[in-house]
Amino acid sequence: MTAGWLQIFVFAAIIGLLTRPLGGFLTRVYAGERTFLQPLIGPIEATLYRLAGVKPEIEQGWHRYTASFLVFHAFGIIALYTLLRLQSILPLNPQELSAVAPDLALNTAVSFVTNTSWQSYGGETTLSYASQMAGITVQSFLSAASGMAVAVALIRGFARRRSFTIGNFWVDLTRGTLYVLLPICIVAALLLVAQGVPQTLAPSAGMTTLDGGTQVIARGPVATQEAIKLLSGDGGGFFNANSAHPFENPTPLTNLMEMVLIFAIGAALTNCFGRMVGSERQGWILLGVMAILFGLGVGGLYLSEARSNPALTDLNVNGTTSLQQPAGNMEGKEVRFGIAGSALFANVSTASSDGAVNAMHDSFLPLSGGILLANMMVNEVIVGAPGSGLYGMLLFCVVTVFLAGLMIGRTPDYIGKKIGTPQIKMSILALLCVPATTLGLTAIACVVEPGLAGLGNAGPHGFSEILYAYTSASATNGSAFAGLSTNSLFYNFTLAFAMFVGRFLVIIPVLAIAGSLAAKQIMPRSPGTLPTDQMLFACFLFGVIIIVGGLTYLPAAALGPIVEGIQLLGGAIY
Amino acid sequence: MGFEIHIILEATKLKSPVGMLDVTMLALVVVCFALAQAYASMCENLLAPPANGDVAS
Repeated sequence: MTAGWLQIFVFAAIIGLLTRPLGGFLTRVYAGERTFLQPLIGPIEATLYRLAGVKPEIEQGWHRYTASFLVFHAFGIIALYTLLRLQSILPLNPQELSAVAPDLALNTAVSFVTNTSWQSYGGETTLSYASQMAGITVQSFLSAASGMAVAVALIRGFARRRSFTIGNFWVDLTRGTLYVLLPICIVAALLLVAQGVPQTLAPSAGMTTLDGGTQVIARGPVATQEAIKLLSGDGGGFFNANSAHPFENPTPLTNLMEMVLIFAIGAALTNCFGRMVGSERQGWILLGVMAILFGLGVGGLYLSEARSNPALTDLNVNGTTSLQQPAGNMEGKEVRFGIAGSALFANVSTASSDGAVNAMHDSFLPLSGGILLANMMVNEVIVGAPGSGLYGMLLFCVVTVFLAGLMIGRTPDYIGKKIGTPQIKMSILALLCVPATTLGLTAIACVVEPGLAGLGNAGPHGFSEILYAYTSASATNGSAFAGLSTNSLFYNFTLAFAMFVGRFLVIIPVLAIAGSLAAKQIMPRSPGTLPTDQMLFACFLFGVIIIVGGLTYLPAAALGPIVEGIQLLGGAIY
Repeated sequence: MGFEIHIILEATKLKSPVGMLDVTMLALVVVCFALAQAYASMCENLLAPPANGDVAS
């Protein structure tokens, strides 16, 4: 197990080392300052503004910023839907795939525009190269850039004083895409190609197997989609098997690289936050809380999966680790990644909002599945996707200072901004709409025929499959528990609704908070101020996240992974 | 308007890849975003300072 822990430690160390330099770079990008990419990208940026009629120097209030955000994404959904429906008559379709069905096209369009990447389809058997490149990949870039824009707008809300604007959505979107996402993706795609990930427009290859049979090997422009799939926190794979497929994630090195790509921007944004509000320590406190939550998750997951499945132990299966076998629960895992590589990837993927998988989450032991669910149930604040992790965490910060203020009789303020009733209302609105949608839709799916028809397993495991699907969709994660067949009218619509709520009904109150805070004066720290850059606040914040997440979801979790885990000890399997 | 609807209906009878279901889906998207915009307006109202002047400065 030492090698496994070492792998986890190396990953954490790389993220820790990247946070400050990348955070500094993000700060310069969103402050409109000159970066080393300026000579190359500056002219492209200026041309885009000219073509779109955007005046970068004119900023927007929160309402206009929100309207721009909504209009942009409405067009995104319509464009992607249209592309999926017309793919059969468009070029770059060497496999001559038919048009995507209307309900599936809607689900997919909402999924990628909301940065969820829930996939009710098999990538290589459903989407043409044109749909993958001009549809899925483009929306991965844009949804990540818009998430980062929202986070930066909220940071400006904390950092500015008596301002009626929070930035220009179009400028933030453009700069995030051009200066951050594109350059990193170009480098990442080249590295992936060097490791064996295909990048071609040639059709699938027909091969003759050793026993004379034929096999079709799917390929395509995988590396470019893979890079942004991970960096964007999107997670929608080119292949159905996602990062478990050897063409998406061929080696242990690419496995590590993919996890770093998933976490890099989310972690760096905490540093960007600290810099923009004038105290990097504030950012480190947030990252510290994220790290503790992450550590608990990955530790529990690794320990749980490293043990043998109790059902196999009862059958006297040798579960001892040796040079011949990795032991532990290897069901649904790739041997080239092993227990640690799979457990770490699964935790990274669910803690962030990415949702890529390199092992089948349905095959994890029940309590491990519970940890994956818990990661998503805390509103994806453990680093999260670019932007969504930070603004989710800042919502919890607002609630924490309010609760702490009530408990100890101190003025509720955060980073010098007094937190009033409107900000609390907005935070609660944003934090409650996700569990309300998740639990409501799960309850409906458990009692209606179309919901039950998709189940692959009975009992608590079946319930976990449904709960996981709606949790993943509402939290804009996109990973699937498998086992549940969701390509049906019922699931395509209800999951699309969950994704819509999880993205837009959270972001709107976030931008409202940004606008209301930006208009306030920054108050000097007084003896009555709760210091938010110290360990005491980190403990408060940690407690609020656990209690809010725990109280909201514990009854549902008890019906799924918890009861299944207990029953497994008695030999019951589902 | 009636003529336009007639054209849309006729188009669906042809072997066009676009059908009535597509029009319904796209209309649904527009309605959802209109509701989201209304939700934003509701947030704006909630942010408005109360009449008794209890506002954080």
